[in-house]
Amino acid sequence: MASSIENNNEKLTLKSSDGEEFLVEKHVALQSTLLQNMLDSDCSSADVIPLPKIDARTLALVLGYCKKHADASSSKQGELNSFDSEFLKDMDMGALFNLVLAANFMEIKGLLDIAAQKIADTIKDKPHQEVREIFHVENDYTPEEEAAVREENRWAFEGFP
Amino acid sequence: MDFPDSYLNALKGTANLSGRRQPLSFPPPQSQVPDIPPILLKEILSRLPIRSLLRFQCVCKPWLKLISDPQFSILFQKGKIAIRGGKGLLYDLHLDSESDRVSMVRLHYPRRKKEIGGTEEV
Repeated sequence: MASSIENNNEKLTLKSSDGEEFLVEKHVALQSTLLQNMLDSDCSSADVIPLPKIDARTLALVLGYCKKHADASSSKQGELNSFDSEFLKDMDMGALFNLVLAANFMEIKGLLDIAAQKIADTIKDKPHQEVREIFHVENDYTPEEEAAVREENRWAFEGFP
Repeated sequence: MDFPDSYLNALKGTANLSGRRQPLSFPPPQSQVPDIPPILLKEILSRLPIRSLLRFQCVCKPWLKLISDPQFSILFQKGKIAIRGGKGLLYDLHLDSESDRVSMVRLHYPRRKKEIGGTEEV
């Protein structure tokens, strides 16, 4: 009994790709399925868990999200929703993409959902040329091929360059 | 007929939006946008309205392939205005406010617009 109470207060150390260490309460870390599985498989909390694909800036954001969601009770869904939209509000595209990658790697479904949705909402009314820039995608169409695809979906381009 | 890259580059200057097979030079984003693996690209694109998806088929050939893939449609979230026709085809409904007509657009190749006319109930 005593040990399970102790376990609840345990902390984990996570290490970002750029070498910064974050001390995280266990119940916060459990928002991540990846970390949950590691804890379930007897990974010692004394160990430092390296997250080689996530930089400190992104990890700090991820842990802020996890802490809010771990601490809020399930009855406070409205509060969480407004936290989520405030959390993403002024985030630039680079930060959003990094969040999507981190949420996917750490298996935090809720965060993946809101970050991917935010990116979709940001690009949905942009011209496709601008979307190319944002995603750093090379245009591999010939002008004729592109015109043909465009012609087949002409109504979708109404009001777009 | 194909225009040479050099011609297009000269035409467009530095903001070469339609330049082909050339590294493009754009103002750097506020923070570095990392490469997104295809699985996560699907996560993002599946959250777009169908009108945006149809336009973004013009981004590049891999995007056209991904968006036209029938497998992609199962990622669509609920509430999207799309109906599934026979033979597993996915249609989008488009209301033309001027003519007050509803059109049906087949999402998968060959993408064609078909008038189904009037103020037909859906």
